[in-house]
Amino acid sequence: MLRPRKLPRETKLWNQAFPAQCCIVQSLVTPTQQVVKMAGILDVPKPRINCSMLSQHISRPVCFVGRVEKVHPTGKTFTVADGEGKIATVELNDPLEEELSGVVEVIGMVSNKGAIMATTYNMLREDKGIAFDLELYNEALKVIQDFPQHYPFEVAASG
Amino acid sequence: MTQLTEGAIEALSNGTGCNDAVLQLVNIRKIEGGNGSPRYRVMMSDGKHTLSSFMLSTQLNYMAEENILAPNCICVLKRHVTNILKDGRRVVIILEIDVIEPAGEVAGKLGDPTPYTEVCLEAVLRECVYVGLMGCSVTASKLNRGFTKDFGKKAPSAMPSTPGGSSKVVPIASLNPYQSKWTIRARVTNKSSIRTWSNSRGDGKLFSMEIVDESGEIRVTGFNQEVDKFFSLIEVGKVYYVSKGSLKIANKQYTSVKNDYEMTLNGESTFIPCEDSCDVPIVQCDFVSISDLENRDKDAIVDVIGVCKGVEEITRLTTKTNREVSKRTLNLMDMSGKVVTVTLWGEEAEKFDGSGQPIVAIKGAKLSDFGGRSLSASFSSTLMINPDIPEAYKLRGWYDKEGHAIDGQSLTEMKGGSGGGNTNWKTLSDVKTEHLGHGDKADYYTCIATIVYLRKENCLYQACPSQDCNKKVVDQQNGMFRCEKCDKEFPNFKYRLILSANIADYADNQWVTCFQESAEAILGQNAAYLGQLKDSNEAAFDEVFQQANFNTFVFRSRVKLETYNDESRIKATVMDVKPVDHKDYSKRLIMNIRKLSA
Repeated sequence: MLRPRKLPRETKLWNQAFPAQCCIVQSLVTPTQQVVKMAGILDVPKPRINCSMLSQHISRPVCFVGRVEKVHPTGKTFTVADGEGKIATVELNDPLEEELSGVVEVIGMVSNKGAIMATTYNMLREDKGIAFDLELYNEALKVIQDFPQHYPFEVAASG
Repeated sequence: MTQLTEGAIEALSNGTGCNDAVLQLVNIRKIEGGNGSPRYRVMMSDGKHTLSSFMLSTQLNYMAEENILAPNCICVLKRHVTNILKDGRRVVIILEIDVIEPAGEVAGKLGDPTPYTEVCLEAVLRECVYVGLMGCSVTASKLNRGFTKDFGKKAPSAMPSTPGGSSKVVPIASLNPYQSKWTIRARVTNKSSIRTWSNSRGDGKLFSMEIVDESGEIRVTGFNQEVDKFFSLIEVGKVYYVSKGSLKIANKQYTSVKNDYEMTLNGESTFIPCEDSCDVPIVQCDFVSISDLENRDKDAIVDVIGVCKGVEEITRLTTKTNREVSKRTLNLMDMSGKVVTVTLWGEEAEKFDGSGQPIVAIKGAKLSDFGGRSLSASFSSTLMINPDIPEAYKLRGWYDKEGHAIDGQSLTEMKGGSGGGNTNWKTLSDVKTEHLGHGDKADYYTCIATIVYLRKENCLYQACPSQDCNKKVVDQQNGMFRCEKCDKEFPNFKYRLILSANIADYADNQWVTCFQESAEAILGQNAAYLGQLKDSNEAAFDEVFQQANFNTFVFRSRVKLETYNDESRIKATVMDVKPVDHKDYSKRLIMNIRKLSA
């Protein structure tokens, strides 16, 4: 789950209180600019998409769930496969600090090249709870796409 | 010595006719008529040939009975009519004959005649007699008025009427109970075995079959005597001329055949084999694709065709009436990629050979919601293995090319979730709109709902401590507790739960009662501990209920209308509580969404 947005001062205090917490959010939060960006994206409705919908959401914030395929040696980019098996690229601002595997949920903006510029990500642990069924998730995505009138997420988020 | 007209037999047999032929009567035989009056079959000779296909018209029966016509007598055939049977044979009907030399005066057979036609028409002629009134309209018109006058209203036929050859064939679709003079030509597509019954009114046996022609199909049933008469005669796949069956409104409960009427065979019905069968379709089926079966109602009767992907071993079970019955299930897949389980019973189960992935077509299978969707071949269904119809060839081609590789998605497991049970999914509003529980029997349904309120007052009661006895015990106030059912007193009791809860889903809410097991599952504590808590730690007791609130479960409930002091109320009891299987739930939701939008 994502951390709720915090003011920079709060965040510094937080860091001091809990230095052991190594959450990716921390590394993004320190520069002020990042904070603004982060805050911006968290407030805005982020439609859930798969690879086939990437092109329709260029320069827009999205939420992408997929299985990690390959991580680039630099740790700044990795590929994910969606429920249909198609691959998308995720680019990070800062290199990965942990081992990434399994299903991840990435929130970010879609670049003109069709890659996701990630602001934050969330790894769905495979050893806990029920295994995430990516194909079923894809089916749900299709339903949401087919019946937008019944899934007014945009209205709900901004309201 | 009177000369016989040689060549007369030949002429008569060929239909070239012969006037006033002088013939010798070689033999005369009585045949029992179907409608009571006897007919006489005569063998005549012209010295050169004999022909046995002569029939005496009924008004001349007296001549046979009074022995005027007797073997060896010489007669002149004054008037006759030749009838042509469907297969080309001829029967000569003697309308007027004069005996010029009585039998006694004739020494013996004149000449050395050889049989002209060695064909035995006996069976055909007998059937002609059976047919009686049928189809003689054309031939009757040829008759002289005089003859028709002689006959009673019952039997206007002076001759054996040709079995369908001269009568018009009507389409099955035109049959109705108000018209009795009809003949149809149809192929038997399905013949059931003989079934016997024995009830308070007596015993009986019946068999039924379905026959089809270009215009449609109809179900035919024969009882008791007709079973004996027709059962062995009729073969599936053969074409027959049928007439004189009685028609009545179809009892749709017993048949899936598409016809408003059904036919019953009676004493006058006839079934005559027909050689010319090329026009009659082999079978009329309205196949439903397996994926479509989901959309059909349960208990619908459908026709399906598919490739038998696999077959189980035969199992034997004993029914409630202590009858042993064999059962076998097979998996059928069609071009939709969906698989459904089909159950075969009895002989069909035993005979079935699923090797080589045959194409199996079932007409009149019953659809049930067992395990989602499955089919059962009832006694009225027809099972066809590798049938000779275009759909079968299409399936075989498809299967050989791609089908064999597809695993197939089975309809029979998908909806069940836990596999096997009938999960009858409902929303809580359905319970009210469908008036579940209002019938004589209780209704069972499954729903996913959230607990919104738990009544913690009076959720526990003191029950008899003996095993299996859950009766409430009476506190004797002396440290002893009495159980009325066991008729014993105990120094202790066990706490049991009766939890009244309100559960809700998006549509509606409902009050339900949960007993021990379900209540313990919801509260997450056992009854004994709860009883203890209630007496000792009120706060902790409340906490349990707080925690249990707003949890979502899969509830399997039983609902029934109960009348209590003039007031009828729906009572719902929870039989089983299970945590939500999200995957299954999602799949079902997606399926329902797609179904609704289609």
